Amino acid sequence: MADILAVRPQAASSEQATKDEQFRTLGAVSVAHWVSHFHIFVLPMLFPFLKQQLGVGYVELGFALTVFAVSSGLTQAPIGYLADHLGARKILLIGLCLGGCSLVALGLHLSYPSLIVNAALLGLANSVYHPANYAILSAHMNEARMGRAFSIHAFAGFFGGAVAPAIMAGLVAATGGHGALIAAGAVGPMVALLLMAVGIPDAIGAGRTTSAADAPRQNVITPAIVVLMIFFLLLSISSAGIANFGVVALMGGYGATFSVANLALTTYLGASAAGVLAGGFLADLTERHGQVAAVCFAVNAGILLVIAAMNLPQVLLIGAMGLAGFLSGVIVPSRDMMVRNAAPAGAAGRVFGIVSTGFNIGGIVSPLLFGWIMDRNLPHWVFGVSVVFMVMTVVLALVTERNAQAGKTAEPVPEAHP
Amino acid sequence: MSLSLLSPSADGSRLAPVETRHAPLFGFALLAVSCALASFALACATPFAAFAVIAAAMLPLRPALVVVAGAWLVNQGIGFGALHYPVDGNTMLWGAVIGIAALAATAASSAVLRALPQSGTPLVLALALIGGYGIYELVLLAATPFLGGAGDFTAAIVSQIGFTNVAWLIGLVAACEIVRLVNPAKRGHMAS
Repeated sequence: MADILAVRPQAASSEQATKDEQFRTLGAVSVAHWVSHFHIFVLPMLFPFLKQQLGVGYVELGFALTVFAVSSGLTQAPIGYLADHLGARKILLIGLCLGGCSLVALGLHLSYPSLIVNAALLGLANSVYHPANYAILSAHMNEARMGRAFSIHAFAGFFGGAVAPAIMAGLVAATGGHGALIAAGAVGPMVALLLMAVGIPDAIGAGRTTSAADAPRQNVITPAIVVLMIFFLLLSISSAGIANFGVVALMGGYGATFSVANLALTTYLGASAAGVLAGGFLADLTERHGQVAAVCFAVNAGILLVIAAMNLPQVLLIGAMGLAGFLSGVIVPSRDMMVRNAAPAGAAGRVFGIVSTGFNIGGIVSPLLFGWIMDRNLPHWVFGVSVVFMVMTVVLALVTERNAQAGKTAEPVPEAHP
Repeated sequence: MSLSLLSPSADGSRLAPVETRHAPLFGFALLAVSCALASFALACATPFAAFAVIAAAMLPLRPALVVVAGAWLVNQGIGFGALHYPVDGNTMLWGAVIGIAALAATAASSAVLRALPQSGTPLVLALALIGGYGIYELVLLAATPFLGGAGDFTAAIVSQIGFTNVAWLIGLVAACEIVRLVNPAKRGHMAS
């Protein structure tokens, strides 16, 4: 009896220690994701300063962003392999330092060639976050709370992007453009040191993965992963159209003023961030993540179809944009759970790297597509084309779900995701 | 401040303002903020030896080194970003030497703290500061044949920076003790 009584506090203490470690890991990885999205916005926020200092036009500055996107897109999948092979923790720390150092180097030596080289390095650094972060979270978070963990991680990224303009404006005002680049860059290595200090764990060696030696040998380019990559591509195109061209489309085709159009987009993006957090709870309640994504996107497509087809009153327009944004956020944790469930044990880094490439391709294609639509003076079609891509996403989500269910019945894999 | 408060914690660390599992995060935040303040006020005369002693008294060697490296990064970021240090090889190399000196001071302070008995913490912290500051200055002095600046190593300047380190150490220890007093979990430990 005394033994039993003695064991209970010990078990409770061990459970508390596990919870503490999971909380610490989630916090640390989310801070890294915050840095990732913050760094993405550093160069665009400094365009006025860079234009003046370098004496170049917006096309040349835009080319730096293209270099960033291409570098990030091309390296996601190989970085995923490295995350599984060398350890996600190491890759994440290197990425934080590389991204930060590239901005610091640009602040110390500002020239156009230096901008292009450092944009490429920043893109390379940016490619580490999804493979490494999701590999660490997949290996260490409690299975019952995985959806919420993914949602908090995604929200941290949204938050990094949201506060970047204000932080960069403050830094430029306080220290000038060079100082802003150096300070923004120093955040990367600083967070890497913070992660080392709090002892962020690695994905390799965690109970849910296979051994490090076996993991890289598995073939992860399966039809299911390719379908998920296309799913990410369609998602990216359908969302990017509204995020990047929503304001000009609302002003050009619906007679909205600049402030109303901006308010509508802000509502869309803010509601999207709130939706991410809500989606985490939803993802933990169900295993049918594909169906969650399909239903949310189907409703979303309906809302956007109404926006595309009708000139809504301002209040209704803003409300509709808010609802659409919320639903697009809700699917984010489910989306990540779909990828995780499709990943073989020990290969989360590679799988997230490969499917995230879809995002990068979408990021390259969508500005061209929606820019072409706006050049043809067809602002309603910004929403119309988004609807088309959303419907395609719905179909693909259902196909992915059906394949996953079929795979589960045919071949149970209890060790991979208990 | 009662000296009895400065008693070693159960895990052997000399300063334990928060629970052991939160100590790295607390140490990181404390030294990053302190270093930011000191960097704006003192630039390259930032009291790294005091930071080294605090980190070594609160954490095992490895996380202590990481925390001090973080403080150094804050210092250099503010120096080059906000205080507009000249962007040349000599200044950058001096920055690197200061970082190496800060890490060496941390290792020295940690060694002193490990070697001395657990009782009498205030005296032990003072000895750790002497050891850490001595090593810090020696590393800087060793760089002067290559980077110049030997003329700055006068008794007046070295002792002035030493007193700055003493003042910062007292301030930081006081901050840790205040946190310990207001921290309910640590108060519980003391009561039991």
